[in-house]
Amino acid sequence: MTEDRHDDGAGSGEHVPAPAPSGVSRRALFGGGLAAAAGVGALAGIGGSLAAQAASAPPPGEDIDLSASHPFYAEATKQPQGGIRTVPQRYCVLMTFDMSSTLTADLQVLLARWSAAIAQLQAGKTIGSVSPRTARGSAPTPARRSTSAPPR
Amino acid sequence: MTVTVGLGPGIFDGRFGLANKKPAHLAQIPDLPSDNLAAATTGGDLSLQACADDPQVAYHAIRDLARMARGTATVRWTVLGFGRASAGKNQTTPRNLMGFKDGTRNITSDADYDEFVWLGDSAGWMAGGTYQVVRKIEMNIEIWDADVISDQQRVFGRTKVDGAPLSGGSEHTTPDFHAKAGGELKIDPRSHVSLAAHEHHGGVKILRRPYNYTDGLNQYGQLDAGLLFTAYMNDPEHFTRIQTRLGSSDRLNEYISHIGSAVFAVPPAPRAGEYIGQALFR
Ligand code: HEM
Repeated sequence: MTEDRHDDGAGSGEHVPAPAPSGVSRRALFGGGLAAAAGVGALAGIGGSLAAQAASAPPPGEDIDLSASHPFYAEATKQPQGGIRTVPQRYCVLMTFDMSSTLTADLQVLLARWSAAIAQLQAGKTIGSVSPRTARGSAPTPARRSTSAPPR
Repeated sequence: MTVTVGLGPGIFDGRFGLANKKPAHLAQIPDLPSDNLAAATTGGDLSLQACADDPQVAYHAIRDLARMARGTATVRWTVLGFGRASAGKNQTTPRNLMGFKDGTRNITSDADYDEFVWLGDSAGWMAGGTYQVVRKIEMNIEIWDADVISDQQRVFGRTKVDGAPLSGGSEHTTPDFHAKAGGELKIDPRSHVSLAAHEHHGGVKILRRPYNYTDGLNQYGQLDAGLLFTAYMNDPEHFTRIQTRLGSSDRLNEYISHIGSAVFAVPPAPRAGEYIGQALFR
C-alpha cells in the first residue's frame, strides 16, 4: 500500500470502460475513466440508479447488486453515515491511520478530500482527482512507514 | 459500497487545537480482563471502514483513500473482513468461523437505534453520529474444532445447527436465563450469551456488525483467523461494561484472544457541499 506510486488523478491505470447507463458494472468501478475533477465537497453525490432486479433473483437479502449506490450526503440534519445501519455487505476493509502532520489545515483537507472521494465511491463512481492535495497545496511527500506499528 | 469515517481520541489531544470539541464519551478503551492487545493492531487517529459485496471493490476504495492521506497520515493497521457475521433486514443469520449463527439478537428496531446507537441533540456537532468500537479477536480454531458440539453449545448457550437458545424454542425465541433442568440452569451463566445479554447489563445494548478475518497461518503453523468485531453505540462505556464481564468469565475465553482494539467517534453524514467533521473547524 505505502509503496503504491500511483498519482491520485491517474486512476488504476486500467483501460477505460464506458459507464453503464443504469448502475455501474464492476469493471467500471475499477476503471480510471470517470475521472471528473471533484472539487472539495462540490459533488452531488448520488449517482447511478439501482439496476433492475433479475427475475431469477436469489432469496431476499442474499443477492449481490454491485450497482447499488448509497447516498453520502445528508438530506436532513442528524443523518448517520453509511455502513452502520446499511444492510451488511459481504466484505469490509478496515484501516486505521495516525496523523503524521500536526497542521490542523492538513487534517481539514484530508477529511474534505476523503468526503468528496467517498461521495463518488458510494455513488458507484471511481475517484477522480480530488484537490487540493495538502493544505500547503504542494505534492505530498512519499509515504513514510510507521516504525512503531507496521501495517500487517 | 459504503465507507464509514471515524475520528480517534488522538484527533482531540491538543495537536490540532480541537481539545474543546472532543465528543463527550470519546476516550481510549481501558485495559480489560483477558486483553492480549498488540500495539500493531491497536489504536489510530482516524479510521476508514469500506464495506462492499465484492472484496476488490472495498480494497480498491481503501487503497485510493489511503493514497490521498500520503504526507498527512500513515497507515497504522488494517484488516480484511469477509462473510459478514451479522444480519440486516431480510437477511438470514450468517455463521462466524466457529460455526455458530452470529447476529441473532442484535439491534434492529428504530427505538433501539435511537436509544442505544445514535447520539441525540445534546451531542452538539456529533448529533446523529455514534461511536465505533473495533476489536480484532483471534480464534483458536483448531482447539475449538476438537471440542465436542455439546460443549461448544454450552459455551455460547445456543444450539449449533439452529442457533436456538438452550432454554428451548427456535432461533428467535427469547432466551430464558432462569429455565432449569435437573437443578441446573439450561443456559450456563458463564455462557457467552448469558454474560453478554442486556438482561444482565441493566438493559444496555450495542449494535454488532462483525466480520470474519483470516491472516493465513500463525508462527506455529496454525490457522490464524478470528472475528473483526465492530460495534456501534452511543457510549463506548457500554462496550466496556459488557466486555469487562465477558473478559473475566466467558467460557468462550478459552478459545479466543482480543489482540486489537480501537475506538472512534463517527460523525453524522455531511450536508451537500460539506465534509465529514466540518463542524469541528468552525
Ligand atoms: C470471537 C468473539 C466472539 C464470538 C465468536 C461471538 C459470537 C456470538 C454468538 C454466536 C452469539 C449468539 C447469537 C447472537 O445472538 O448473535 C453472540 C451473541 C452476543 N455477543 Fe458475541 N461473540 C464474540 C465476541 C463478542 C464481544 C467482544 C462482545 C461485546 C463485548 C459480544 C457481545 C455479544 C452480545 C451482546 C450478544 C447477544 C447476547 C444476547 O442478548 O443474547 N460478543 N456472540
